[in-house]
Amino acid sequence: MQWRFSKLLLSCLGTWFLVGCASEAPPLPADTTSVNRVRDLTLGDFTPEARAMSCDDIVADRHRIDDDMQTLNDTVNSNRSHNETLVGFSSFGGIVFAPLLLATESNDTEKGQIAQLYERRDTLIKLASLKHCPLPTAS
Amino acid sequence: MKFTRLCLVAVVLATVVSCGTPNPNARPAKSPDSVILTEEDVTDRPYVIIQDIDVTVSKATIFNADPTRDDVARELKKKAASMGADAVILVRYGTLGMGLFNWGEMKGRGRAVAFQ
Repeated sequence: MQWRFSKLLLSCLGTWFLVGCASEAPPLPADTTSVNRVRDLTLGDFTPEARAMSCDDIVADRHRIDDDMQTLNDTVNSNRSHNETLVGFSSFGGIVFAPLLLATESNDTEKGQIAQLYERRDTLIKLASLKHCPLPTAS
Repeated sequence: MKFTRLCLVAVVLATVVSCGTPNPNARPAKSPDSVILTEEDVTDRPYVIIQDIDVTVSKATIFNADPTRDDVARELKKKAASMGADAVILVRYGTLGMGLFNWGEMKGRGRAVAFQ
């Protein structure tokens, strides 16, 4: 009985550290454009599919990425208030409400997708600069 | 014993001297309002990288408002301005969520640069 209680407590504590945690901002791409850059970018740095993209394709893909990011961020933010309420109840209610933490959303999938979208966007920014495409307008 | 004392004095002196020597690469601080913030790279002006910077904006209690991207942007500008940067490029944001020691936080990152 005591073992079960300990397990429950441990899982609650574990969940506490995982629930709705803020994610890190994605890493910055390698520098290939500054004056003191280590190396220049070439078309060989891109996949054949990326190399074949025109400036219009790049702009269209950038807009798609922005829209997808917005959707994913909205999903994370909508779960945020739900999580905050549950964690708030658990904190103020002590062990009585601790199991509520198990009902929280961690949004790991969305966070992973956002990181991938940033990576894709960095690639497109570099590709656009290499192809001398006009700077994008705000969507 | 004497050697230990001598070492201690040497360490203290070295610390004082290093603290007093100004960094020759340091740039004068600027006003945060003058710092340009963009999620893009800058391709029409040559620039040098000062440093990649990270900031975290958090709220202390459950009753405070959640930090926003505007708050993160303000902190990025402040940090870049203190380094004498002209712009923060390739800005990106983490997702809003709970921190280990606070009720909510948002992180941001960017590359502080100076135009030539």
